[in-house]
Amino acid sequence: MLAPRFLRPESSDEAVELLRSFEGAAKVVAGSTAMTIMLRQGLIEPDALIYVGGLPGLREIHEEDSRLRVGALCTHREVELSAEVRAVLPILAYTFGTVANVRVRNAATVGGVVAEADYASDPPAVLLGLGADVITTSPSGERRRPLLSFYRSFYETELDFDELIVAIDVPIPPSGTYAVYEKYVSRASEDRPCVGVFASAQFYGGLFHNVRIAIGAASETPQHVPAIDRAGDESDLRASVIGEIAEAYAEQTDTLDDMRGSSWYRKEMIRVWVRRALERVREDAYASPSPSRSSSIPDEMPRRDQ
Amino acid sequence: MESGGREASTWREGRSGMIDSYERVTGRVPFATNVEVQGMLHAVLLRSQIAHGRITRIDVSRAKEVPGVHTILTGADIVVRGAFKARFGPVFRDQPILAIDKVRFVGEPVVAVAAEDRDIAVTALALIDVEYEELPAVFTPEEAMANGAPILHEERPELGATFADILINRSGDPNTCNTFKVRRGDIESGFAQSDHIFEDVFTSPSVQHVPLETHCCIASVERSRIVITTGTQIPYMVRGQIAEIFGLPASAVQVIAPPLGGAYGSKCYPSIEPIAAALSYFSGRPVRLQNARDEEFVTITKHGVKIYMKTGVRSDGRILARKVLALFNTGAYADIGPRLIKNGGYGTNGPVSIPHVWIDSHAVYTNVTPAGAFRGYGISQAAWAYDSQIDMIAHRLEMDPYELRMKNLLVDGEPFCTGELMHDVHFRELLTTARDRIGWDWSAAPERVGQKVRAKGMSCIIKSTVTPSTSTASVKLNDDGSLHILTSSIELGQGVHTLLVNLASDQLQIPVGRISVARVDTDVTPYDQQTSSSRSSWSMGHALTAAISDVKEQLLSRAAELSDEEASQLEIRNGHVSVIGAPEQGLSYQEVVRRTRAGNIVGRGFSQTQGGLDPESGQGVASVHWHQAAGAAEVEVDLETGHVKVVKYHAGVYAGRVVNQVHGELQTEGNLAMGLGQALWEELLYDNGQLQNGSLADYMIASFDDMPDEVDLNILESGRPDAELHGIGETSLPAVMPAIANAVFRATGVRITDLPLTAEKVLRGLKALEAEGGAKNGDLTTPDGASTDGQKHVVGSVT
Amino acid sequence: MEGEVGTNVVGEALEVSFVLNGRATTVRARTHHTLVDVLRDQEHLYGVREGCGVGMCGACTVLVDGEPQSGCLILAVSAEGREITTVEGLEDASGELSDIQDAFVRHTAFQCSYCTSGFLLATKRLLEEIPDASPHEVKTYLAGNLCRCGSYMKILAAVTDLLERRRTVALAPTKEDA
Repeated sequence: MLAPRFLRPESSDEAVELLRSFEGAAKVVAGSTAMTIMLRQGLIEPDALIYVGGLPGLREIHEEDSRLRVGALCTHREVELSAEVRAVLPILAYTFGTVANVRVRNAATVGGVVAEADYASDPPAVLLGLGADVITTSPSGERRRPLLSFYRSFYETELDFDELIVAIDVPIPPSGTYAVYEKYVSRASEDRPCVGVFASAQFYGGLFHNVRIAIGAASETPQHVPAIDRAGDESDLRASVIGEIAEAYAEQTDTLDDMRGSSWYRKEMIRVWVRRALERVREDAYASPSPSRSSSIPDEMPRRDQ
Repeated sequence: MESGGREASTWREGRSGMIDSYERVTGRVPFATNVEVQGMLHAVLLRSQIAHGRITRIDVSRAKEVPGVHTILTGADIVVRGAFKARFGPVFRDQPILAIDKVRFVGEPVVAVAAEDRDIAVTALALIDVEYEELPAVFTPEEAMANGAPILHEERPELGATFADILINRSGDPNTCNTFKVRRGDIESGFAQSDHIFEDVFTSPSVQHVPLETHCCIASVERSRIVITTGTQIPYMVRGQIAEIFGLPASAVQVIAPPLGGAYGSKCYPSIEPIAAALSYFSGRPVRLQNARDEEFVTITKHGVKIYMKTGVRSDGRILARKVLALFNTGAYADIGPRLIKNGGYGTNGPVSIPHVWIDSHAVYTNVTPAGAFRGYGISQAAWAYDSQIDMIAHRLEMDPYELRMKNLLVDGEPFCTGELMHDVHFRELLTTARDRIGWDWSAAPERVGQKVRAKGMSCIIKSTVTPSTSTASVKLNDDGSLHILTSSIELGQGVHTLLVNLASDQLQIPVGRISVARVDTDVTPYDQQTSSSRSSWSMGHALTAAISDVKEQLLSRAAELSDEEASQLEIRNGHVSVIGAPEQGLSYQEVVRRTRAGNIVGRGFSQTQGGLDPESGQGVASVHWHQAAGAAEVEVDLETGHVKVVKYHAGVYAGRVVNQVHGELQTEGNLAMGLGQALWEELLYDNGQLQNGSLADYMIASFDDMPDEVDLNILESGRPDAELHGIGETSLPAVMPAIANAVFRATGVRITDLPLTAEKVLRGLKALEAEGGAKNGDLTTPDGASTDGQKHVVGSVT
Repeated sequence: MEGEVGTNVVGEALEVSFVLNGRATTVRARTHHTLVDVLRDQEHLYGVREGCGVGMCGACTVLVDGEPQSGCLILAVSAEGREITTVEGLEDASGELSDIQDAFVRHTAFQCSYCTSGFLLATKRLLEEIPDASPHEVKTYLAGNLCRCGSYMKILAAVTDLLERRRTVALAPTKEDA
């Protein structure tokens, strides 16, 4: 049926009960940016849409115990412009600010982009690189999972049909951490990335620690391989170290082919952009050895005066 | 009495950029998509999902049961009932309204459903089953022309009434629907006299126009009367085709043509109109049909083309001979391909003087979306070949590419390859200004900063305008002195209605606020051949001027009735009719019309150009005058990613005389935006005939952020007050792609001969250069592109 | 299940109420209908136009609670209680053009103008958010609105002009100052 039922639960509990009652035939919708397209193109034919857009308690951003919790219903634009996020995790604000256009960012939610598992989205790789957890609720109770084990393949996650994402929970990197996100767009400016590379490292005692890389848009799911990153730990991130890490990601990523680049090209781009990302981390660290809080602020942070 | 200068300003007051600016900024432009007709049904189409196949079964029984479904129609229904003609097309009547027996491309309309609302129609559509027996398919001209290739149209398509300039030559293989030839001089002796011969192959991909407003029409068919409101560039073509299909006199068919939300050539010839009309015929209700965006991508495209170009050059750089084989992929139905290959054929001569020319240009049927008119009309593809090649030749001869072009550019009095002598030619001025404004210095090395390198490139192109052609216009001077313009030129954003109002205002000295343009309606507004080919300013401008002269004559003779003077003693001055030499005693137009009880004064204008080419040799007159442009680009290439950014662009175009400066700039900047996309990333990607990127999430068009930081324009005028108007709607577009590619070559040594210059292609070229280990800058080719360099290096062959 | 007003072969239709250009409005929408669908089909606001259907082109831009969004991606049923502004809401009550529209007219910042409504609405919010926007910020903010005719340079000129005029007005001495 073209028009599924449209149900408006008044609480998360009611929402997940509804999800359970439809046994997988219902879809959760909030910002509706992706869901509307899938519905209208006939890619999904749910019996019902469970609208969670107005649910209370899912739109807060708060910092506690060196972790930042971002409610699932926060829009991309809210994360992008949030003073709190900009203060403690500017790289997250920056990344959400690079997604699509202002209109989509005003509607698309954090929970939505995490759950959709679209390989060409920017935030999943960055959240993965930051070590975020996904917090969900279901009739069986609340659950926390690391994003590292959340993505299965194209548009497929570990999420059960009666599970609702309520927040993402991101550890705030220790002070002296420098983070960058390099979004490489191969065609027009409004295109989605050909590859996106997140890189971060903590800098003290003249050496880099806790190096973390994540690659988005290049393969079915975002890639983060701690074993590769360890090559950068306790190093000065000299060219040879960076090259080794870049090469390893290029080799190990099972890159895909699409109109934004062939599998070969994506491997090349991983090599280039992992290197460039780590070089920027190194340069930022050398340029201002003690950042105020956790990471360098990207050059092009969008503004909002009102 | 006021001075001439003051006089001139009075009727010019209150002119803004566009006569309907208010509607344009308040959402009130009456696009076809807004039209609602009482009782109308909504239609949707089931389209073929295979590239080539025989339809073995269509089952609509379940769909018919859906409440609210009114009419379900197949090609077989149309044939069996035999109520009207089942096929149409602007040249060959080869396109079925709905597929008959066979489907020939993915996306071909197979079944049409009309229902009370669109949702019901969509619901019913999902219940229709179609079975096919798949047939072998061909996707490129080479495949289609190969021995044993499947034949797309087993029966020779009917040739119908068409345009005067079209030449038909069906001597080619069965899938070649038309061939155009140029034979000038003695090609073999031309090559024999040449010191160097260069053979290169250039390809341009199929792309899509992407008008933001998709095709939309509302058809209402009654027994002896048809009314169609449709977004079209050529309402008289729609009228002719619909009248022919239904066997009605043209006077029984009314086509109403609102302003367009973009077209760029995509809305020239009927596509969905016959379907809506057929549904209306069978349902007895008005029917609305609009393409969804993905359907727009399978309705009409720009021709993908492969051009083999062999050019003979004397050691001093003078071009002596050129032989060309151009293969235009015209898709499953001919549309206007048979005419476009003519323009794209002689167009491969380029803006240069060549004594010996041999051109074969073919329109070839394949199993992809029909290709038709696209801004640039075959010239983009031709210019991509000849301007890339002249740049390559300059490099091979170690000459400054600016100097090589200058040495060969056509000047007034020289013949084009069609034999006609050039006049009002300004290529050298355009190219020299381009050189100066971009800051061209052949001896300068590319500028390198880190992993990025910058360099410049230029181009120069020639484009024809449809010849012979005809425009007519009427004007109505009302009894209050206000004026109506009746024209069938379509306003598609180019500002043609504004231009006509300004011309009328100048000629009758009436303020623009007192001039209206009637809605284009074939029942009311007189014939215009087409709103395309950058011809409206010229052709309709002439027709309007003639209509106004007619009004002026009538005004004078009417005014003579009111005075003691002969008409010959009267003149039109400052919006009045007055005795020559006594302007202070004039009669207003209002007084003349009212006091003579004329009711109104209707003027009629006619404009026709002469020309045409010999079908065997391509000799004759191809264009009443020639459109001319030069381009110059500065690019920045990321050597590690291959990504190209155009940082500066100079567009030079010859306008003859500028009637509206802002519109001239808008069109030229628009050509740049469209050319950037085609240079760098736009292409329709097919996999076995299935379009892979038929959505704006996958098919990118240029945004604000893609525009160069610096854009510089040179809209060149002749300086003569009576200079011819040269349309510039398309002229600067074909120059963009080669200018950018030539700059990328200067920056990197990578010569790409197959558009677009994707980052990946550039990077592959860079890697190949690297692998050659210090090969001389520019001597390499891209692995996936056609081979380029090396004298007498034969890849494909035109011989 | 509030608001159900009928089901047919297509599915159910719901009543949805929102404030449209300052006026309380109720429409009937099926679940898959977007704001573009209901604003055009039921409210006859033809300044809202579908271009791509996937949120890329911005021809359907509307302001939702003052923020630009893609009308083609908003399920109409989810617009309950929102404030929606379309291009038809930009003029003041007397039909005077807003300064934004006036600037677009003065610079002829359009050709076919199918995209113009979207640009005007995005510009409205841009001016509020970044009153001192640089040309770079203008381009980046508006990059999500596509103009296939390529009128970008004139749009930039219009917005730059607007920014200057608004700044001049803001800095002009008031009567009290004088």
